[in-house]
Amino acid sequence: MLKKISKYTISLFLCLVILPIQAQKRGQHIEQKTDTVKVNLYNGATVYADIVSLASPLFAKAATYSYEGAIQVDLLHKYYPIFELGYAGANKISNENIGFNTNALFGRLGVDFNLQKKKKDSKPTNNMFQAGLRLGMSNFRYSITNVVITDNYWGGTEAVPYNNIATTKMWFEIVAGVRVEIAKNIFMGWSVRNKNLLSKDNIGGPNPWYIPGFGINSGNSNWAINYVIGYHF
Amino acid sequence: MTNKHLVNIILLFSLIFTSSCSNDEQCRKDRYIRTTAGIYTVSYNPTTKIRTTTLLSPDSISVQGFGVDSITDYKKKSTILFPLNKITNESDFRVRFNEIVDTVKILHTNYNAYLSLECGCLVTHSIDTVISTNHFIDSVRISVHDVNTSTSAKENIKIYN
Repeated sequence: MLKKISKYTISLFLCLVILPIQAQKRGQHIEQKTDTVKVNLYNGATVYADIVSLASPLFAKAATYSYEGAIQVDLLHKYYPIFELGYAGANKISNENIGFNTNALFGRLGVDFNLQKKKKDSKPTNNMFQAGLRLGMSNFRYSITNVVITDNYWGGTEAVPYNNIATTKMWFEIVAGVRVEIAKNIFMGWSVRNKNLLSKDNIGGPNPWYIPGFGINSGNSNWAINYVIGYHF
Repeated sequence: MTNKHLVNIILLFSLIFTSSCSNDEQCRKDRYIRTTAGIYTVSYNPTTKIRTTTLLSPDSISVQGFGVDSITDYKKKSTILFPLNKITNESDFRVRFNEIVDTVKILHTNYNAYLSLECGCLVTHSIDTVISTNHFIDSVRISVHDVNTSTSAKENIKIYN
């Protein structure tokens, strides 16, 4: 699994590094020819709904669910500020019979950059290769149930209650993906996200197994994929 | 980029991610906790006026918790283990050194440390007081109060003969 993660990281890194350089070289060439074309600052907004999140219960043995949408603004056909809002939760029982449950809203704020430059003499297109950043946050409550301490030597058991614990978690995401206009003003596309937790867990504390919007809290880093459909206004 | 290419890319990424998101749900954290006691003898040389402490290995030692059926036997060992009670704050042991029996009472504070859904909860201790009868044992001293995963290689109690 580590090998796979390394492969994805390298691929994503190459996408993020090489494509902008190539785009920049092409851009320098185009700028000489098209510097007289005026681009509007505001070019409309697109509302997206995530489709992968609807199918996410299939990937995590139905222990988690997440629904999210986004609104993204087109500035200069280059910068795409985005606000994502979602609702996610988990209801999990481990092999040790310990239960975890939570559900809450989450939000992300960020910006995407269009890395695809128009080729010389190419047809005008709204298709994009995007890369960007997000800052995510969720304020939520969670419960860990059926935590039992068993003393095999002396005998006896004790239940440890961790109910309704309130916490706020923040994370940042590196995002890369594509958007394609499949019909007039209707866009589809996918993005891959590397999520990194900014709020650290307390050692020995009852830390959440799942963070709405971030996913399963198995370390400080997480991967996710979004597949969206959107309408441009 | 055509729509056909887009569909192919989406399918590829879906495959990659569904195959890489498996979780084996095994506990891989260190959960080993033990309270260790070393047995020592002190000899005093009146001419040099030097007191020397050396490890002592009695022929046989047996440790039994009060109210516990199982007895742990040690042969020619200078280190023994006292499994502390995870539920209450007092652990009483009957310790037999060869044929001499002593009672060791350990008063401790328990701390619950939650690890994860896979590992559950771990109980660590802090030893407050150790009291013993004085048949074989001359005195006892706490050398390391904390009993947790990072102190499992350390000696918590010194028993002097």
